[in-house]
Amino acid sequence: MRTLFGWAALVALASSPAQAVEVPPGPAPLLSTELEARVGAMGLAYGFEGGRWGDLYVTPAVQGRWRLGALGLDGGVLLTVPTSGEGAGFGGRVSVRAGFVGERFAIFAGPVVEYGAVAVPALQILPSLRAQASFGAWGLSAGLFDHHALALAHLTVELGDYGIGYVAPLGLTAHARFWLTPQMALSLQALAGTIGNTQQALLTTGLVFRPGNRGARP
Amino acid sequence: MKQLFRLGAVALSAFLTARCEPRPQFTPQEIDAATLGEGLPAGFLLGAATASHQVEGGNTNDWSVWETQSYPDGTPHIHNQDQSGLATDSWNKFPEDLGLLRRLGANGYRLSVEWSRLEPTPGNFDEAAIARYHSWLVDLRANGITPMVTLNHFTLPLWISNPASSEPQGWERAETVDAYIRFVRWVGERLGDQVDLWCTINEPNVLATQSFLKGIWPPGVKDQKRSTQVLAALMRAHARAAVALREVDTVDADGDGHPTRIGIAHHVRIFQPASASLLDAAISGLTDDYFNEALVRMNTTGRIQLSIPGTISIDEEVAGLKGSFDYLGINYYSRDFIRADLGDPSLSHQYTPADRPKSDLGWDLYPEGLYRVLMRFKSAGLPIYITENGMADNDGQDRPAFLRAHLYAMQRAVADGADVRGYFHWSLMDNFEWAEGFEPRFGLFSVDFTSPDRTRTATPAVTTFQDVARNLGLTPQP
Repeated sequence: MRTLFGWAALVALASSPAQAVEVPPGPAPLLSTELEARVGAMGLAYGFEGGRWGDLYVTPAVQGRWRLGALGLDGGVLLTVPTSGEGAGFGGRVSVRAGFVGERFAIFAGPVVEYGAVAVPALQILPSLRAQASFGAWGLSAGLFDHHALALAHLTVELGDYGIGYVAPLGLTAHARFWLTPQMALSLQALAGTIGNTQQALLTTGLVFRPGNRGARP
Repeated sequence: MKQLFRLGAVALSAFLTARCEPRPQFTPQEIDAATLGEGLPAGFLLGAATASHQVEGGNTNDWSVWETQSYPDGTPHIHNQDQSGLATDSWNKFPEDLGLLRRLGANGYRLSVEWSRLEPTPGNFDEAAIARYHSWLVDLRANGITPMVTLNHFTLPLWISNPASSEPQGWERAETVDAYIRFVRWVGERLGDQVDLWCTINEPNVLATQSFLKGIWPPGVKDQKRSTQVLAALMRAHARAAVALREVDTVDADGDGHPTRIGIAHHVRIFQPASASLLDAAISGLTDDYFNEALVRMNTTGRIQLSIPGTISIDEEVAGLKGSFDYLGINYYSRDFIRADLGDPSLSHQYTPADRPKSDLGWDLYPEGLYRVLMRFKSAGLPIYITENGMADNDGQDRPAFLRAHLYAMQRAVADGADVRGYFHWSLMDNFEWAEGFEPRFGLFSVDFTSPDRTRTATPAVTTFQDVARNLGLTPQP
């Protein structure tokens, strides 16, 4: 629980006004074509009386979204590089999702294929789903095995470039973007949650590139 | 922005590392450089372990029937169609086995008494058989060897196991627990003057899993719910047995002020998620809690709390369970990598990666795991006996290094505060390894199962054991 409070504090900070790039206001589409490169760290551990056993991974990732009218493609690659030689080996996952993008609603579905170098079987395929709805200044997003299957299920409230959400069965996720130029933003994402006695924490930072932005705030 | 990054880094590092147990990696050089046996507490028991059905021979019980049968597809229950039969004939060769212990320099021996032999029909006990066990215990003590006696090591008399019925069977039946307590009282009254260290039940978690979840031990049931119910029944039986033993065994055999020290032999494994998959991690955590943690927690809370999401949930207070452990027996062998498989009854595929060193049974040789287990259960606040630790090694060439590495792990844990009071190597000699038959060789002494007298021969690990015994101040006999 202390961890959740810690993340809540982090999210509150992330939600405070930042020195954003001054760009003229304009109508923003629900989803835009974009490419993002991230790097971060993820901890996965299960607990017991008096301690826990776990693994820490470095998690570089690339993900992108392409919008072609009402059709959308969403995909990415995330690597999990263990920091210890005595646990799970190197791994990675590829997600490819296709879907519909409307004025106020978007939905993507597709598989996440997870690879583990020492895993038997080496591949694990999970269904992934993400839905997003816009209500003007704010919106909602929800997902199953979203974020490269790092979140079992989530429901997130989006406020422009910021978002905070619930991760099932018990956890929080938060993200923020800080636009450095009209096309490029610094992104932050945090996720922490528990399933039974297993705990997960993820913190990543990255750069987002939106080639379609032409001086309008995304 | 800087503040944000700083807070994020602090929060993440605190979350990830603050309470994680250290994961050591031992080098061959540091193991070779260690003087094994030094620094262990006074009175430390260094010995070996056996179990009645695996060594005695001539038993008629649920296992002896199971060994003659096959699965519906014709595959025999036991590898190579082996049957325990005469086993190592230890029922008739105990003096020779005692000689093996003396040769090792052991000052402890964990053995079990065979229920089916002692109570061949309901309520009719064999006084001659219990007298023979008693004489063994007297001989052990006369040779400076402290016995730890296990009251149930997997087998059941045929009259209670109910093999002809579809259900309930064995430990599922309330009558089994009642009959077991009657047996425990009778044994406690007759052996209590020689026994201070009692192990009520060997590996309740393994018995419930192999017999009622995987269905590869009698009675061959594959059912998550029934497996969990059996685990609960075994712990009820343990609690009642502990109460009974404290009533009937009031003789302090060694004069240390403790006539009865009661525990279970708890099989603990390291469950390592196979990947960074959330599912692999969650299933590993669930498996760890069910297999490793739940039984120890029962001793703390006095409640049987077992849960498999969507299948069964048990939460029940049991009289006599809280604080029923005077010690925690740890059986440690290996580590399993866990890949989630929701279609499997265990919810996972458990395996050893191809590049890991393995025993002849394919078990990961991971001595660091013993250190991690001992450090983990340090928080239970109980003295710990390593009641089993060993490897299947047919030619015996790898066992010396295995023994040294695991004793080094134990010694490191003791230096780091773990209250370990004894180590019993599995096993004193080769024996009948349950569903694997006679093929896996676990013995410090090999046994020629083709010879009528079951000739025992020292493996290279005997010298290793003797060296450690000498460092402990013990005296191996020629």
